[in-house]
Amino acid sequence: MATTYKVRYKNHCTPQEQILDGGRWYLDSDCGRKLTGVNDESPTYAAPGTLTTGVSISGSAISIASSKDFVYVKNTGSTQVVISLTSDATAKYVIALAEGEAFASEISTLANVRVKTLSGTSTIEHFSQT
Amino acid sequence: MPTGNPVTRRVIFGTYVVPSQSIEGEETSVRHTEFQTSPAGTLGGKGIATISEDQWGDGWVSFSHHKGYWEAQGDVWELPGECWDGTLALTTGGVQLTTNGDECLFLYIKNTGTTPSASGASVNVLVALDGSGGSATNYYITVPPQGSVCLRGDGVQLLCNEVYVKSHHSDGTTIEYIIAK
Repeated sequence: MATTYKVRYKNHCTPQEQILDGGRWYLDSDCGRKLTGVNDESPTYAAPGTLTTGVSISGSAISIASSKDFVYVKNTGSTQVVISLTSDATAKYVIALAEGEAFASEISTLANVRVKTLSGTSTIEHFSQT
Repeated sequence: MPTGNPVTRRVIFGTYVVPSQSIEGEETSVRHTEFQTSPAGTLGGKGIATISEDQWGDGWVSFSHHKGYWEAQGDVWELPGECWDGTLALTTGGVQLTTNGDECLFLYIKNTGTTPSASGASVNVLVALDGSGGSATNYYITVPPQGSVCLRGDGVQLLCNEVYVKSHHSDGTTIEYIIAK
């Protein structure tokens, strides 16, 4: 019997502002609403995804996903980690994840997702799907 | 005396992932859906991005507060006119979301297009985070119809003017976005 695999995911955010120092937080007056997006239809994958937990991260970058269609990364440690999607010589680590934060997106199979810390060590969990 | 101008701004953001598998039943038309064996549940995380209380312009969000008036916009109103209805139309040509060169501290992009498009296609949005000089090559983030991506910039290397977007299909699509310094 054929088994197929999908990944449904949601990224959401709530912009807020304070009018007084230490005062109440309001919905941002330039936005006025919460924002969310859920993929209409996940691609159908032929194989299950791969979850890896407790990965130690240091100042030396490690590659956690290449030739993948979907990636999820969560910082499970207490030190901020940074992520690069490219492996160019000039690759920049442009996405930051503090403790408890996660990044999830469909990605190009050309992307090479690499993770490191700027100082100290942390841990991550990551899930990828091909 | 409060002026009404924000003294602090932030964005609370989160991610929720559901890996599932669909198993064909004895009757092939019947399928059962459940969590993938690993992680055997959902994944996710949340955080808070502190952004500048004084943004680079009204264009830092593609839309306006539902009680806002265009006369009250701080920018010259006829200049950022690409998002009259709150969304930005994309074609297969890359678009720089802003020319502002400050560090990007938070980015949210939603593909507001629907499936199927005019020709029946599912039109994705492609996002590059390292564009320069009016173009980008590494469109490595894919945002499917009605999907979104959000990320916190590292505060040093990702600049607002390095974010480029385009449609992967000639039918084009639309996005709404936040790009905050």
